[in-house]
Amino acid sequence: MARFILRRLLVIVPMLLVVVSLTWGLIRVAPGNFYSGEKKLPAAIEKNIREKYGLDKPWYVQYGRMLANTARGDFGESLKYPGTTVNSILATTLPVSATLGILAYLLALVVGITAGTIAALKQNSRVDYASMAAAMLGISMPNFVLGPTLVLLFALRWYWLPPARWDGFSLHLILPVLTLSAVYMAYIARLTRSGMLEVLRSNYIRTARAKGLTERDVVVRHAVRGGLLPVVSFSGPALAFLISGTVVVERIFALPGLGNYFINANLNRDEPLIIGIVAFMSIAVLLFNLLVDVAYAFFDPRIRY
Amino acid sequence: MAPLLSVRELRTWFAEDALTAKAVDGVSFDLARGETLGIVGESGSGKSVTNLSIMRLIPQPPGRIVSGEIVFDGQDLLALPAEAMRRIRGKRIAMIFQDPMTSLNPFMRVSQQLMEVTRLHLGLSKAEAYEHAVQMLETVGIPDARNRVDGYPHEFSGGMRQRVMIAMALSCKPELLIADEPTTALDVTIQAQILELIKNLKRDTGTSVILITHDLGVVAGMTDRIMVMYAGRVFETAPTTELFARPSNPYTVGLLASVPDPTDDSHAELYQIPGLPPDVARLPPGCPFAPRCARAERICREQSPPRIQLTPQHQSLCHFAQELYDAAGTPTAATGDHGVR
Amino acid sequence: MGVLALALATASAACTAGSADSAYFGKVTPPTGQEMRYISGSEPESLDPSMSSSQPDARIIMALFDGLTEYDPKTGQSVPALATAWEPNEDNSGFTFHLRAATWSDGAALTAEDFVYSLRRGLTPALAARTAYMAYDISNAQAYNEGAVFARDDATGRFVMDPANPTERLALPGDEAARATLLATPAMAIARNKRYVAVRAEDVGIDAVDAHTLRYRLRQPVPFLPKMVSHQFFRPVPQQAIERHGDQWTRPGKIVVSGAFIIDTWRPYDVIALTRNPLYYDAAVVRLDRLVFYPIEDLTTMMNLYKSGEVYATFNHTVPSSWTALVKNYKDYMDAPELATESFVFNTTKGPTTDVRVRHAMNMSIDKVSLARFRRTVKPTTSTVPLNMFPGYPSPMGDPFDPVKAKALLAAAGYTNAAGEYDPATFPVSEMEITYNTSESNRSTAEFIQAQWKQNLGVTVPLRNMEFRTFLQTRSRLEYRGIARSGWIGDYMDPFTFLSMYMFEGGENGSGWVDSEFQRLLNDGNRAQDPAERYRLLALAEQRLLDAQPTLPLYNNATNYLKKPFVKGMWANPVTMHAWKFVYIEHDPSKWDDAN
Repeated sequence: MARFILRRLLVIVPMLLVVVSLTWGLIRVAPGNFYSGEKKLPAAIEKNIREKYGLDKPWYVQYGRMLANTARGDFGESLKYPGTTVNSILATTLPVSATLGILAYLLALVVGITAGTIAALKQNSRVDYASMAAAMLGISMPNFVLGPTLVLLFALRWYWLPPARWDGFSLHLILPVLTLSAVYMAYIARLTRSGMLEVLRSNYIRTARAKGLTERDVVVRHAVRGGLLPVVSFSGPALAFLISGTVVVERIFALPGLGNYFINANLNRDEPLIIGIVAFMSIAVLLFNLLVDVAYAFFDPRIRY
Repeated sequence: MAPLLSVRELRTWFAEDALTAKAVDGVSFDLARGETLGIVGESGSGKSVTNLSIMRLIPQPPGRIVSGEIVFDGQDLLALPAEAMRRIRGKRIAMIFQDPMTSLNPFMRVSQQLMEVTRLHLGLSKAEAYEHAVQMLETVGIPDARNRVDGYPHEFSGGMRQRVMIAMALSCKPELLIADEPTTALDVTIQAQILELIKNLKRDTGTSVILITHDLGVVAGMTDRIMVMYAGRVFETAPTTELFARPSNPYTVGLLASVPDPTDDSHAELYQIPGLPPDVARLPPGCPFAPRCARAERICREQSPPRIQLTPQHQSLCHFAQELYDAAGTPTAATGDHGVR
Repeated sequence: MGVLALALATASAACTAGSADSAYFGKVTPPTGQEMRYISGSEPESLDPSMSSSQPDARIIMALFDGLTEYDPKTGQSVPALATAWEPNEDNSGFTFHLRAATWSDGAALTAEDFVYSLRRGLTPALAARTAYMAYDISNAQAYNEGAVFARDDATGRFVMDPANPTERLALPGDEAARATLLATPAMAIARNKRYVAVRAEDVGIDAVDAHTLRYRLRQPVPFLPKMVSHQFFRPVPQQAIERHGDQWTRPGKIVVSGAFIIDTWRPYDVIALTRNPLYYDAAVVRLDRLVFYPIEDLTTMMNLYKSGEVYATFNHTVPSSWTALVKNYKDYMDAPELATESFVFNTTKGPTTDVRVRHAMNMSIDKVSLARFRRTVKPTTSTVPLNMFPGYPSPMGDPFDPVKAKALLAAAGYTNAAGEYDPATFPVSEMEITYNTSESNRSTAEFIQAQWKQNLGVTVPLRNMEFRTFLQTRSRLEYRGIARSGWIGDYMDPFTFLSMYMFEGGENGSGWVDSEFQRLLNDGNRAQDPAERYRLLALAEQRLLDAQPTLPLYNNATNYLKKPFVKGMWANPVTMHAWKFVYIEHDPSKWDDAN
């Protein structure tokens, strides 16, 4: 197991190299640059800017410098926000996106697993159909429809909750977390239902029942571990994506999270910030996938790395 | 003495779209204390469903125990509330299944799976249950039980797993053990060991056993009585030796004929009963075996066969039961082609 | 399904229902104290006045740093701030400002030296300030910012003067190769074989005559300098804080300000909160205790926050066009003429638009009155300088809407059939595109133009949209075909800001048109001492521009944003720049409908 983990950690390095290089190349190729505004800059000022940020050096020098920065974990200053380092931006936005993502996912797990399990236990009943229909709705409704709908009702019609913005752990969290978790809730409910159905049909569940265990024990002690395996696999990439910033929700609710910065960084051609966020997201994805694979081994003792 | 188990006119049906599959249709039998009953039949004969019905493990929907009585130690199990039935399951009636590879929970340690039963039904503490589990494993012949008890099922071989299942089933010293094809999935040599084990345990504990199988060879050495099932009905019931000696039902005759004789040098083709078992959702009128029966006549296709009590211990469901019984009693029947066309 | 229908019905009811106060849009509950909450736009790039270049930054900077003059809250013209009075020299090529006694928020005196330091710093090439070009009218400002050199005669010790502008020193490129190329030209013969001395900060035309007298020396007449210096680039920065904290000097706790407020909290993409600066020279006038800015970009989110009463005003152009019809009728909708013209430019260097007749024809065949009706919040125009904005300016009118004449012009330009009549089939639409930067608003205008040309000229010109920065590059390099969007917001309250971009090639002049007579008229106008004479000359220049038709004027924008009735002292002025010192919260509802 230790060797497996080590191998996976080592893979991160070449992966990161590839991802960061591709991103850097794409930024170079894209037209426009970070300092163009509505008014054209006089040539000399443009020259000043390019010198200040080392943009006048040959491309391989800039590439090398970018790689060195990435390796050090210090991505330098944002081009668009002079005086602000990329790392400080990551440090301030990450807690926001992470809180949002983790809360949304926890909610999705609790509601999704419960609903999926009940649906599986009462297969083909009204409860089953209703919850699977709700899940279908959750999966197909985009969050830029769901979010504003929730805002319309709860913030603008009834004035119960604030429509946007971030205020730490407060009422401001409710609508964004709900919006974000909806689609994951739906997926997890469906995955749980199908996983549980499969497990509940299996022979060892029959054995458990034959031993005279209560239905509750059969489900919770025997069925859940096997039935939730699909949810465990699903969680890895889902969490990585969630935590790296979910742009639409952050935009709708004006949350100072990573996703918001990321979109703006791209539109602004803010190279250090883009590279920094991309590097972070790649590492997050790889780490979360590793975590999930390790968790899988804990869930299923048949798997040995 | 009153029988331990008395099943009367059990009917368990399954809803299959618009049709009804009558998996068990009027099954009755008794089981005395300390007796081993073998239930024999092809797939789809209803032998497993009968026993799952006894345990009340039939999934409802699509299944349904329509009518009947299952009297266990004086109580009708079908009339019990679910909670009461649950207390009987695993404690007084235990069941082991056909496929040991999938019948144990792969995610749980063997010790936990063994301890569950005793902690639940006998109220043992964790330490007591653990000790008990080790002892049970030793009893069923698992070597180095103390070190292996904390392993996971996949760390055991097929035969070992079945022993674990048996250990689990016998943990609470049940009065009735139902073994549903316990050796079908195992190698022949292991089969013998497992059967031997069941026999010995039964002798030591006095448990009654219902042994379900499609293999006549298995029942021959193990059982006191045999019940032959077909299409959800009991076709013949008799003490073991009597069944082999004087089969009184064409189906039983056919089954016996299908067993290959290792001493037969004639290189004749192996006999098999022609045709396939019927779809219990679409049974023809009359005797369900009629389409395949060598002995069938018009009456078989029109009227359900009667139950003929040949001796107090021996009954058969056939229009010609008496005839076959008598024929089997004469010496000439001991040779040749068993009266089959 | 029934649940869904119910939800939709509730939602649509929520859309149309107002709140209890149906004269206003949303909740109207003032805060208990004097706290203003404003949506300022995108996250500020920098609150360093010399570094920032966008309007969102400018609005916040105005609260923190005062300038020589300030934007009048009602008219957008300039009123005294740190300067109490000023006068030009005889031909508007120099200005003297008299400063009041004021201090920084750390108690240090604010003197003319601060202005000198700030300008020199802002023009330092290493700083790479993007709005440094605002100061290029000041002597040697551009030369210093570009790292240029003067040419000095070693024998006489005198500098070579610029033949084009004899009162100014000649500036040559700092880069040797570029300089050598330039010196090779015959006009530069006088500059050869001299010592080339780097232009220093001290050469820039700003002097502190004494602690409270500041003088600017300009390269050419700039009569509107007092209006220009309201721009944040000219507002002084605190040397003491910059030297102590370097890049971080604008952070809360480190920043030192000259304005009415100082930063208390700054959480990026979340909030920037300001509190009163007790050492502000005009602190007695300031009524707000707290001024909070929210950097939000999504229009719907802004509207939601406003409606639910979480913010009290938004910045300009924040009401989505689909909402305008609904929101216009509320009293808190702010609708005033804006210092902005929406227009397109023609590419005069290629395609059918090189012909001036074609340009006039295409201009004449768009009905700007119905375009304005379609856009709802704008006023049609056929001129470049916004109409009715500068009292006394005789705005020339460009072409009226006349499709008949348009066709005749196209016929004259040669797009005819055998009979000599205008034939749309002969017009090379494949060489034209309506190019614009991607946005909902731009697209609807472009589609309107396309429909007009189709209806009135029978030609269907394709649309082409692209992302903003890509678009800027395409336009300034004249890589587009046909017409490109070219809206302009004025930098200061003077007609010149709408005409100056066409003086030279490149940059914002995305048309490729230059004209020496146009340049002469503008220069003469700036030299004129009499404001009426000046306006006359500028108007003549504009007429020349409209005759040459490198531009396609469409309409003058009106402001459209929302402001709660309890926010006072905040008028809808043409530049939408609010001097925050005048803003306050009125708790008495009977005064909410008073005119301010």
